[in-house]
Amino acid sequence: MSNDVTIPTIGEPLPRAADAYAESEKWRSWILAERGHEAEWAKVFHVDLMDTERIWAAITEAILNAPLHKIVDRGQDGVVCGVDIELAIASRSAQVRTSWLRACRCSTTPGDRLPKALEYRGCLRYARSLPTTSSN
Amino acid sequence: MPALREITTYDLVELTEPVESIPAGARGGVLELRNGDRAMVEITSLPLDAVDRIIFVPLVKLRRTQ
Repeated sequence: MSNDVTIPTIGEPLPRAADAYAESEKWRSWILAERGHEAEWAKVFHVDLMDTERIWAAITEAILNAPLHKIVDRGQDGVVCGVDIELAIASRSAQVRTSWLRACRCSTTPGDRLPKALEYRGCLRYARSLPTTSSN
Repeated sequence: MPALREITTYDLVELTEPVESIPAGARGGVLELRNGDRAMVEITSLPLDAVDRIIFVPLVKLRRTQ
């Protein structure tokens, strides 16, 4: 993990996008779960929980150069960054809207207010209404 | 009387009070718990931008719907 503390900027790629992650539990219990977004992923990409690694690989490749379209500062809770990506999985592709939490762990050293470690947590979200660009 | 279960990660919840511009009654899922008293919630019942639907809410303003 790098020590880059670049501030997110609209139109620029997500800083440290290569360090982005999403917990496996989030995939099982939310992103690809019935209570979460399973139906949307199934409708657009014809994928399910068995495809988690394939989906994640496609997302992490796509976000490396995709520009941020929106940034919202949530104060002590971090900064939420929106990134639109073109995602291709097998024979299907679609525009996908993702959001990422840039959490900030600040130094506990007195007088030192610079963030010493940053991390992204995927709050993955994708557009349910955008059409697929190919289908089978 | 049965004990009420506390809100946990990935519970489906409803706002009992407005939070920022999100009205009471909006529903979503808990993505993370923070310090035992706050939750990161993804609002799913409103047509919000992907970024705007991620909010941080005191647990006292949430009610489990499931």
